[in-house]
Amino acid sequence: MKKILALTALALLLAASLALAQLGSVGPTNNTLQVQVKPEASFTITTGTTTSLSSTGTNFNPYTGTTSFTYYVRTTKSGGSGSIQLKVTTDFVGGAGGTGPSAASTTDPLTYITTRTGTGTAVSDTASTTDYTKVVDFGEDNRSAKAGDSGSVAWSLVNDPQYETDTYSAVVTFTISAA
Amino acid sequence: MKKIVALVGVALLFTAPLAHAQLGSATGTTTVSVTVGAEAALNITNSSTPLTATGTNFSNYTGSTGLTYFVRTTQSGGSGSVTLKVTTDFSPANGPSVGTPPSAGDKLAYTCSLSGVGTACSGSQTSSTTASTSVATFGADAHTVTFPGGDTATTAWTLTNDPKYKTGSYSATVTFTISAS
Repeated sequence: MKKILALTALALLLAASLALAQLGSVGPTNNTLQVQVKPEASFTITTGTTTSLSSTGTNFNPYTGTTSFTYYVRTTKSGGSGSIQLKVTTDFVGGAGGTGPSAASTTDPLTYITTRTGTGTAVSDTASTTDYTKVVDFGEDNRSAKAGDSGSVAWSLVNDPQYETDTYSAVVTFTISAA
Repeated sequence: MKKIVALVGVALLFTAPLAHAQLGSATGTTTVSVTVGAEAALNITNSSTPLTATGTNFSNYTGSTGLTYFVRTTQSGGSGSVTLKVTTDFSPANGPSVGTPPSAGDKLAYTCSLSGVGTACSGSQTSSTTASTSVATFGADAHTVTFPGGDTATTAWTLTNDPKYKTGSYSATVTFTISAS
């Protein structure tokens, strides 16, 4: 009886060992890494939180100023698109309650000319308080540099003598998208 | 029995991606600010103003100068003006003169009219080679009515037709100045 028990124990021990040996394999094992690169876009204004418009001389030259930005974009290789757009989300308000410029005006518009260094097509237009207007247009497979591409909008605002003297501020919101 | 069980375990530790550099965001805002100040500008409509006399009985020489002006004065406490001055007297000599007329009472005078903002000079003004004289004045919060064309003003000249003037053509330069504060 004692011999039978000893043999049984030994058999169990060997079986356990064999079972442990089946938890892995010996030799090189491959593992596949995958990454899906998707369209992306992001944007940073580089001229601070305020763009000041000013006029030269005293003979009602237009008020001008520039907002600069850096953008990063990647559009879909085939059929992709994207854009940078802007909208006057808060129209001009006078700090002392004056009556002055309005981005909604059709006679005294706030216009901009876009320039950019890098990918995309610059678009110049008249700013709107109701719709986003294009600044840069992206087609398929548009990709910026790793450090970002740069652009700017040069603003021009009519210097209408009818404006009351005051300091006026408007908020312009830029958005970037890529597909 | 020696069983050599080799357990090969491969553990891949995937650490979370190193902190991804944030390259911006999907939106950005800027506040566009403009300070609107007092300004003034004018254009002379006719760069040359001929003065002529009708008849042959020494009626005064007359003519008019037109100008277009643009003005914005400060909302509170602002003011402005249009003035003129004879900066170069009539030449050549022996004819009319603003500074040293051949006869007492000879003068180059003018009246003013405006179509737009401001108050025209009142009555007949005598021009001078030594001081600026008024064409129009502006009060606080004055704004050109017509833009971009501008408001208009006219100075109607009268020059004494003194028989002492020798015959010939004589010219003087009048400088107009607009200001606003």
